[in-house]
Amino acid sequence: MDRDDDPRRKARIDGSRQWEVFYREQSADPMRHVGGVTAPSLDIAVEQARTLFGDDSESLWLCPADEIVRLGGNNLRAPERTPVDATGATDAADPEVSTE
Amino acid sequence: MISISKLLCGRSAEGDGLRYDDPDENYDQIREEKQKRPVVVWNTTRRCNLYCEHCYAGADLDPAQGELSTAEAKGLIDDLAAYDVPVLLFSGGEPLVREDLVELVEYATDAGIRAVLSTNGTLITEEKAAALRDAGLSYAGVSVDGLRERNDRFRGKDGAFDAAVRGIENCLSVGLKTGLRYTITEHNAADMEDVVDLLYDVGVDRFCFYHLDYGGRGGDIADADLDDAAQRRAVRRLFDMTREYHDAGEDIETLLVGNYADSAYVVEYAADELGQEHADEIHRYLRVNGGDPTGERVADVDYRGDVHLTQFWQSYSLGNVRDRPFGDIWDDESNPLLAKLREREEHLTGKCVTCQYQDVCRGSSRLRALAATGELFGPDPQCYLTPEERGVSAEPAD
Ligand code: SF4
Repeated sequence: MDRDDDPRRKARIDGSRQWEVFYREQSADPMRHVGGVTAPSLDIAVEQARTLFGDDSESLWLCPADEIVRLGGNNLRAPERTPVDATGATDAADPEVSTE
Repeated sequence: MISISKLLCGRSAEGDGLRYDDPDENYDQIREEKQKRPVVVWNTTRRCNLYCEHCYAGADLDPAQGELSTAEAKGLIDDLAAYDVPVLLFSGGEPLVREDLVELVEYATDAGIRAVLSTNGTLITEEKAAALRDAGLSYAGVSVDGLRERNDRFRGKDGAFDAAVRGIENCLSVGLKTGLRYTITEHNAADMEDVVDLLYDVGVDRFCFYHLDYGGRGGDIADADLDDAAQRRAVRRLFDMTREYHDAGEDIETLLVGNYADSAYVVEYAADELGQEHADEIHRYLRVNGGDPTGERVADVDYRGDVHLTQFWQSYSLGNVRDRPFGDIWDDESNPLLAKLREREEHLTGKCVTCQYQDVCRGSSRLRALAATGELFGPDPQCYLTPEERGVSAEPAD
């Protein structure tokens, strides 16, 4: 997805901000993404992340979600996606999924 | 979701598919086998034509940036179908403000997912109800939170009550199964019974009562939550009312959601009113799939694609469906929070540790515990059980 097109780079309208949270249990472990917290301020975001992950972590990182540039991932709008019917069969002729 | 009518009166009615224990229409309402995939609540939009005090989604009238487009929504539905999600609850905001709602309901049902709707009802015309029915919608749950005056104050709009009742009538007139959603608070507990009577006369026979959870604006009005004695009164009244209706030959379906101490209380109630054998049977049923479903039998995807542990817990997301397919996010137990929630019995603290009903309650709401105590595995402040009911002789220090 193009960087400026990415909806997750846009601010939330309720004034809150989202921070992606990274965690490792021990210093030998790689940092691991463990989701994100939404909060009106960094202090509250840190408090939330500590409450949810602090007990288990050697280290926690928070990064504003709208500062992350994401390349690749699950392109929900991918033209090659085809709808499934109830039996799991696909209909490649359906044009709806390749539009927009 | 606890089906009171089924447990107390043996009613096995058609429902909205939102019982976390059985997504299939041809079922006995409480099954003997554990549900494998979550019911997914999808906040299709953050926009809403009302401004309710207790809204967990914090919805308002402004268009939200980042809402999934029609094509992305279909991509999401494909992912959910591939993961065998049984039920998709189209929620909001108000889902009817999305112009592609009917198209997406049809897309979901074509993909083999049971589609149900949670709405404030005020935008359901007869034409819209017919279109949703034709698209394959199984059920519409309409929120009403008190009699006319109280509901309109709560919902921030005069005429909201009458418009919701008209929406319900429109669903019923085209044969679309519909029912009530009612969030119980200190302000509206007194109206509960009158609302049931009034809507029963309109033709509604399914009534779903939600306890307040402390997410979104619900967190701002946690003070309006019922105290222990009032919770017990409201829940007991619902038990009694359900039996009175059934005794009169009127087969209403009643359900309770959001406080799984109710599972314990219904067993206690049955022991007092219906005998120990009936109570034991209820306890056995609830053991299979009872208890708080957060992070297991229910999931939420918000308007931006963030995946949450329940629809009420919007301040934390596990990941985003624009990054990874839903199933990959939901199965990723390398996330220590998700892993711990799924084995919460090992982490609960305070009075839940020794409670004899932990197996059917599972400590109830982690979100309320977090909001009230700052501890993820602390006690749920809404648990109203006495020490005797919990099977202990005295209150432990929490
Ligand atoms: S003590 Fe805990 S497990 Fe027992 S009913 Fe209350 S909340 Fe549920």
